[in-house]
Amino acid sequence: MRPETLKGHLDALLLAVLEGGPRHGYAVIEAVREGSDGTFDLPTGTVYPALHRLERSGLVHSRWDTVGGRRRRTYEITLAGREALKAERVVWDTFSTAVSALLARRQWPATS
Amino acid sequence: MARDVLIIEGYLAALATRLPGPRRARVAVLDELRDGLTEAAARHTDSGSPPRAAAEAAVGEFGTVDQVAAAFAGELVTQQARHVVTVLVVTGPLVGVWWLLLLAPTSPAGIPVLPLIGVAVLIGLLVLATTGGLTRWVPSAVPRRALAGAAAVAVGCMVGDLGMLTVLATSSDAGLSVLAITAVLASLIRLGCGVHLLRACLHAQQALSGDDADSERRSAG
Repeated sequence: MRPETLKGHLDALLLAVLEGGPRHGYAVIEAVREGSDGTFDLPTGTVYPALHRLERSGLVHSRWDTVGGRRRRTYEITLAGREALKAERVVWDTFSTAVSALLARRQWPATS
Repeated sequence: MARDVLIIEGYLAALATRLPGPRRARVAVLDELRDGLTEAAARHTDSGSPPRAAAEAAVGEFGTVDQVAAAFAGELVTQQARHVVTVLVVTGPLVGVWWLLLLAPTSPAGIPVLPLIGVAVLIGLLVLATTGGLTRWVPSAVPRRALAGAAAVAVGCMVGDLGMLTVLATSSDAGLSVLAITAVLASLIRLGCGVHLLRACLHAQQALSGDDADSERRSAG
Protein backbone atom coordinates (compact mmCIF):
# COMPACT_ATOMS: atom_id res chain seq x y z
CA MET A 1 0.00 0.00 0.00
CA ARG A 2 1.29 3.45 -0.90
CA PRO A 3 2.44 5.55 2.08
CA GLU A 4 0.13 8.38 0.94
CA THR A 5 -2.89 6.12 1.59
CA LEU A 6 -2.00 6.00 5.27
CA LYS A 7 -1.61 9.75 5.54
CA GLY A 8 -3.88 11.09 8.24
CA HIS A 9 -4.41 7.68 9.82
CA LEU A 10 -0.90 6.76 10.94
CA ASP A 11 -1.11 8.68 14.22
CA ALA A 12 -4.28 6.82 15.23
CA LEU A 13 -2.72 3.46 14.31
CA LEU A 14 0.35 4.18 16.45
CA LEU A 15 -1.83 5.31 19.36
CA ALA A 16 -3.95 2.15 19.01
CA VAL A 17 -0.83 -0.03 19.27
CA LEU A 18 0.38 1.88 22.33
CA GLU A 19 -3.03 1.57 23.96
CA GLY A 20 -2.02 -2.00 24.84
CA GLY A 21 1.01 -0.86 26.83
CA PRO A 22 4.44 0.77 26.47
CA ARG A 23 6.63 -0.35 23.55
CA HIS A 24 9.87 0.76 21.97
CA GLY A 25 9.75 2.34 18.52
CA TYR A 26 10.61 -0.73 16.47
CA ALA A 27 8.07 -2.84 18.37
CA VAL A 28 5.35 -0.23 17.69
CA ILE A 29 6.12 -0.21 13.95
CA GLU A 30 6.30 -4.01 13.81
CA ALA A 31 2.93 -4.22 15.55
CA VAL A 32 1.39 -1.95 12.89
CA ARG A 33 2.91 -4.12 10.15
CA GLU A 34 1.86 -7.42 11.73
CA GLY A 35 -1.54 -6.13 12.87
CA SER A 36 -2.35 -5.18 9.28
CA ASP A 37 -1.09 -8.55 7.94
CA GLY A 38 1.65 -6.68 6.11
CA THR A 39 -0.74 -4.29 4.33
CA PHE A 40 0.86 -1.28 6.04
CA ASP A 41 4.46 -2.11 5.18
CA LEU A 42 6.14 1.31 5.31
CA PRO A 43 9.91 1.77 5.44
CA THR A 44 10.47 1.41 9.19
CA GLY A 45 12.76 4.43 9.49
CA THR A 46 10.10 6.74 8.09
CA VAL A 47 7.58 5.94 10.85
CA TYR A 48 9.71 7.07 13.80
CA PRO A 49 9.12 10.80 13.09
CA ALA A 50 5.38 10.22 13.60
CA LEU A 51 6.11 8.92 17.11
CA HIS A 52 8.21 12.03 17.79
CA ARG A 53 5.40 14.25 16.52
CA LEU A 54 2.92 12.48 18.82
CA GLU A 55 5.24 13.11 21.75
CA ARG A 56 5.59 16.79 20.85
CA SER A 57 1.78 17.04 20.83
CA GLY A 58 1.60 15.41 24.26
CA LEU A 59 -0.27 12.32 23.02
CA VAL A 60 2.56 9.96 24.02
CA HIS A 61 5.59 10.34 26.23
CA SER A 62 8.86 8.50 26.08
CA ARG A 63 11.63 7.43 28.42
CA TRP A 64 15.14 6.19 27.75
CA ASP A 65 16.56 2.95 29.14
CA THR A 66 19.73 1.02 28.45
CA VAL A 67 19.20 -2.46 27.01
CA GLY A 68 22.13 -4.66 26.01
CA GLY A 69 24.46 -1.63 26.11
CA ARG A 70 22.21 0.32 23.71
CA ARG A 71 20.00 3.30 24.49
CA ARG A 72 16.36 2.39 23.99
CA ARG A 73 13.42 4.79 23.80
CA THR A 74 10.12 3.42 25.04
CA TYR A 75 6.82 5.13 24.28
CA GLU A 76 3.68 5.20 26.38
CA ILE A 77 0.28 6.66 25.54
CA THR A 78 -0.86 9.59 27.71
CA LEU A 79 -4.36 10.39 28.94
CA ALA A 80 -4.63 13.01 26.17
CA GLY A 81 -3.53 10.31 23.71
CA ARG A 82 -6.30 7.98 24.87
CA GLU A 83 -8.85 10.75 24.44
CA ALA A 84 -7.52 11.58 20.97
CA LEU A 85 -7.71 7.89 20.00
CA LYS A 86 -11.29 7.67 21.23
CA ALA A 87 -12.20 10.69 19.09
CA GLU A 88 -10.36 9.22 16.08
CA ARG A 89 -12.33 5.98 16.41
CA VAL A 90 -15.63 7.84 16.28
CA VAL A 91 -14.52 9.78 13.20
CA TRP A 92 -13.24 6.62 11.52
CA ASP A 93 -16.45 4.65 12.25
CA THR A 94 -18.57 7.40 10.68
CA PHE A 95 -16.23 7.78 7.71
CA SER A 96 -15.81 4.06 7.00
CA THR A 97 -19.54 3.36 7.32
CA ALA A 98 -20.29 6.14 4.82
CA VAL A 99 -17.59 5.03 2.36
CA SER A 100 -18.59 1.37 2.63
CA ALA A 101 -22.21 2.26 1.92
CA LEU A 102 -21.24 4.23 -1.19
CA LEU A 103 -18.73 1.69 -2.47
CA ALA A 104 -21.10 -1.25 -2.04
CA ARG A 105 -21.75 -2.96 -5.39
CA ARG A 106 -25.33 -1.99 -6.04
CA GLN A 107 -27.13 -0.11 -8.76
CA TRP A 108 -28.10 3.50 -8.08
CA PRO A 109 -31.40 4.61 -9.68
CA ALA A 110 -31.03 7.25 -12.39
CA THR A 111 -32.62 10.60 -11.46
CA SER A 112 -33.37 11.85 -14.98
CA MET B 1 34.11 -4.23 14.43
CA ALA B 2 31.98 -7.07 13.07
CA ARG B 3 30.76 -6.72 9.49
CA ASP B 4 27.07 -6.61 10.50
CA VAL B 5 27.77 -3.80 12.98
CA LEU B 6 29.73 -1.95 10.28
CA ILE B 7 26.75 -2.13 7.92
CA ILE B 8 24.43 -0.60 10.51
CA GLU B 9 26.96 2.02 11.63
CA GLY B 10 27.72 2.95 8.01
CA TYR B 11 24.02 3.51 7.37
CA LEU B 12 23.69 5.66 10.51
CA ALA B 13 26.84 7.64 9.63
CA ALA B 14 25.41 8.42 6.18
CA LEU B 15 22.13 9.46 7.76
CA ALA B 16 23.90 11.64 10.36
CA THR B 17 25.25 13.89 7.60
CA ARG B 18 21.71 14.47 6.31
CA LEU B 19 19.84 15.28 9.53
CA PRO B 20 19.16 18.92 10.48
CA GLY B 21 18.18 20.12 13.94
CA PRO B 22 19.64 20.47 17.42
CA ARG B 23 22.58 18.17 18.14
CA ARG B 24 20.84 16.46 21.08
CA ALA B 25 17.79 15.68 18.93
CA ARG B 26 19.96 14.25 16.13
CA VAL B 27 21.91 12.06 18.57
CA ALA B 28 18.61 10.81 20.03
CA VAL B 29 17.33 9.92 16.53
CA LEU B 30 20.49 8.01 15.68
CA ASP B 31 20.48 6.15 19.04
CA GLU B 32 16.84 5.20 18.55
CA LEU B 33 17.40 4.00 14.98
CA ARG B 34 20.51 2.05 16.07
CA ASP B 35 18.39 0.21 18.63
CA GLY B 36 15.66 -0.47 16.06
CA LEU B 37 18.13 -1.65 13.40
CA THR B 38 19.85 -3.95 15.89
CA GLU B 39 16.48 -5.33 16.92
CA ALA B 40 15.46 -5.86 13.29
CA ALA B 41 18.77 -7.57 12.48
CA ALA B 42 18.34 -9.85 15.51
CA ARG B 43 14.92 -10.93 14.20
CA HIS B 44 16.42 -11.79 10.82
CA THR B 45 19.21 -13.72 12.56
CA ASP B 46 16.62 -15.62 14.60
CA SER B 47 14.92 -16.54 11.31
CA GLY B 48 18.14 -18.15 10.12
CA SER B 49 19.92 -15.35 8.24
CA PRO B 50 23.68 -15.02 8.69
CA PRO B 51 24.65 -11.82 10.59
CA ARG B 52 25.77 -9.85 7.53
CA ALA B 53 22.64 -10.68 5.53
CA ALA B 54 20.53 -9.92 8.60
CA ALA B 55 22.09 -6.44 8.95
CA GLU B 56 21.60 -5.76 5.24
CA ALA B 57 17.96 -6.87 5.48
CA ALA B 58 17.41 -4.63 8.53
CA VAL B 59 18.87 -1.61 6.71
CA GLY B 60 16.72 -2.40 3.66
CA GLU B 61 13.64 -2.63 5.87
CA PHE B 62 14.30 0.82 7.36
CA GLY B 63 14.38 2.56 3.97
CA THR B 64 17.05 4.43 2.06
CA VAL B 65 19.03 7.21 3.72
CA ASP B 66 17.19 9.68 1.45
CA GLN B 67 13.78 8.37 2.54
CA VAL B 68 14.57 8.42 6.24
CA ALA B 69 16.28 11.83 6.11
CA ALA B 70 13.27 13.27 4.25
CA ALA B 71 10.87 11.73 6.79
CA PHE B 72 12.77 13.24 9.72
CA ALA B 73 13.44 16.66 8.16
CA GLY B 74 10.12 18.28 9.09
CA GLU B 75 10.16 17.00 12.67
CA LEU B 76 13.78 17.96 13.31
CA VAL B 77 13.33 21.39 11.71
CA THR B 78 10.34 21.96 14.00
CA GLN B 79 12.47 20.91 16.98
CA GLN B 80 15.16 23.33 15.79
CA ALA B 81 12.61 26.16 15.70
CA ARG B 82 11.42 25.33 19.22
CA HIS B 83 15.00 25.14 20.46
CA VAL B 84 15.88 28.58 19.04
CA VAL B 85 12.77 30.20 20.48
CA THR B 86 13.13 28.52 23.87
CA VAL B 87 16.77 29.61 24.24
CA LEU B 88 15.93 33.22 23.33
CA VAL B 89 12.75 33.46 25.41
CA VAL B 90 14.41 31.93 28.48
CA THR B 91 17.61 34.01 28.24
CA GLY B 92 15.81 37.22 27.21
CA PRO B 93 15.07 38.43 30.75
CA LEU B 94 18.70 37.72 31.74
CA VAL B 95 19.78 40.33 29.19
CA GLY B 96 16.86 42.73 29.52
CA VAL B 97 17.05 43.08 33.30
CA TRP B 98 20.49 44.78 33.13
CA TRP B 99 19.32 47.30 30.52
CA LEU B 100 16.19 48.03 32.55
CA LEU B 101 18.25 48.63 35.69
CA LEU B 102 20.73 50.78 33.76
CA LEU B 103 18.52 52.93 31.54
CA ALA B 104 15.03 52.65 32.91
CA PRO B 105 15.13 51.92 36.64
CA THR B 106 11.76 53.59 37.22
CA SER B 107 10.03 53.44 33.84
CA PRO B 108 10.62 51.30 30.71
CA ALA B 109 10.46 54.47 28.57
CA GLY B 110 14.26 54.47 28.40
CA ILE B 111 14.23 51.24 26.40
CA PRO B 112 13.35 52.25 22.82
CA VAL B 113 13.49 48.65 21.53
CA LEU B 114 10.80 47.46 23.94
CA PRO B 115 8.05 47.27 21.25
CA LEU B 116 10.39 45.23 19.04
CA ILE B 117 11.17 42.83 21.89
CA GLY B 118 7.45 42.59 22.62
CA VAL B 119 6.74 41.55 19.03
CA ALA B 120 9.61 39.03 19.13
CA VAL B 121 8.24 37.51 22.34
CA LEU B 122 4.76 37.29 20.80
CA ILE B 123 6.09 35.54 17.70
CA GLY B 124 8.13 33.21 19.91
CA LEU B 125 5.10 32.27 21.99
CA LEU B 126 3.12 31.71 18.80
CA VAL B 127 5.82 29.35 17.49
CA LEU B 128 5.84 27.41 20.76
CA ALA B 129 2.03 27.24 20.88
CA THR B 130 1.68 25.99 17.29
CA THR B 131 4.41 23.35 17.56
CA GLY B 132 3.81 21.91 21.04
CA GLY B 133 1.12 20.35 23.19
CA LEU B 134 -1.34 23.13 22.37
CA THR B 135 -1.63 21.76 18.82
CA ARG B 136 -4.36 19.53 20.21
CA TRP B 137 -6.50 22.68 20.19
CA VAL B 138 -4.80 25.13 17.81
CA PRO B 139 -3.63 24.50 14.24
CA SER B 140 -0.04 23.32 14.06
CA ALA B 141 2.54 25.33 12.14
CA VAL B 142 4.26 23.72 9.17
CA PRO B 143 8.02 23.32 9.78
CA ARG B 144 8.98 26.05 7.30
CA ARG B 145 6.72 28.58 9.01
CA ALA B 146 7.88 27.60 12.50
CA LEU B 147 11.47 28.04 11.37
CA ALA B 148 10.73 31.43 9.82
CA GLY B 149 9.13 32.50 13.11
CA ALA B 150 12.17 31.33 15.08
CA ALA B 151 14.52 33.19 12.73
CA ALA B 152 12.39 36.33 13.14
CA VAL B 153 12.68 36.04 16.93
CA ALA B 154 16.47 35.67 16.65
CA VAL B 155 16.75 38.69 14.33
CA GLY B 156 14.45 40.70 16.62
CA CYS B 157 16.62 39.96 19.65
CA MET B 158 19.81 40.81 17.76
CA VAL B 159 18.39 44.09 16.46
CA GLY B 160 17.22 44.83 20.00
CA ASP B 161 20.71 44.22 21.38
CA LEU B 162 22.35 46.35 18.68
CA GLY B 163 19.79 49.08 19.36
CA MET B 164 20.55 49.11 23.08
CA LEU B 165 24.30 49.13 22.48
CA THR B 166 23.82 52.11 20.13
CA VAL B 167 21.67 53.92 22.72
CA LEU B 168 24.40 53.45 25.30
CA ALA B 169 27.21 54.46 22.95
CA THR B 170 25.44 57.68 21.95
CA SER B 171 24.21 58.53 25.43
CA SER B 172 25.91 61.64 26.79
CA ASP B 173 25.66 60.58 30.45
CA ALA B 174 26.79 56.99 29.89
CA GLY B 175 29.41 55.99 32.43
CA LEU B 176 31.53 52.90 32.77
CA SER B 177 29.61 51.42 35.67
CA VAL B 178 29.55 47.74 36.59
CA LEU B 179 25.91 47.72 35.52
CA ALA B 180 26.77 49.16 32.09
CA ILE B 181 29.57 46.65 31.54
CA THR B 182 27.28 43.78 32.59
CA ALA B 183 24.51 44.94 30.23
CA VAL B 184 26.96 45.32 27.32
CA LEU B 185 28.50 41.91 27.99
CA ALA B 186 25.06 40.28 28.23
CA SER B 187 24.03 41.78 24.89
CA LEU B 188 27.32 40.84 23.22
CA ILE B 189 26.97 37.24 24.42
CA ARG B 190 23.41 37.12 23.14
CA LEU B 191 24.47 38.59 19.81
CA GLY B 192 26.99 35.75 19.46
CA CYS B 193 24.29 33.31 20.52
CA GLY B 194 21.89 34.88 17.99
CA VAL B 195 24.38 34.44 15.14
CA HIS B 196 24.84 30.78 16.11
CA LEU B 197 21.07 30.20 16.29
CA LEU B 198 20.47 31.96 12.97
CA ARG B 199 23.08 29.75 11.31
CA ALA B 200 21.31 26.73 12.77
CA CYS B 201 18.03 28.02 11.26
CA LEU B 202 19.72 28.49 7.89
CA HIS B 203 21.15 24.96 7.99
CA ALA B 204 17.71 23.57 8.86
CA GLN B 205 16.16 25.61 6.04
CA GLN B 206 18.67 24.12 3.59
CA ALA B 207 17.69 20.62 4.73
CA LEU B 208 14.05 21.42 3.98
CA SER B 209 14.96 22.87 0.56
CA GLY B 210 17.05 19.79 -0.23
CA ASP B 211 14.14 17.53 0.60
CA ASP B 212 11.79 19.63 -1.54
CA ALA B 213 14.23 19.26 -4.45
CA ASP B 214 14.46 15.49 -3.85
CA SER B 215 10.65 15.23 -3.85
CA GLU B 216 10.44 17.16 -7.11
CA ARG B 217 13.07 14.90 -8.69
CA ARG B 218 11.16 11.81 -7.55
CA SER B 219 7.90 13.24 -8.92
CA ALA B 220 9.56 14.06 -12.25
CA GLY B 221 11.08 10.60 -12.38
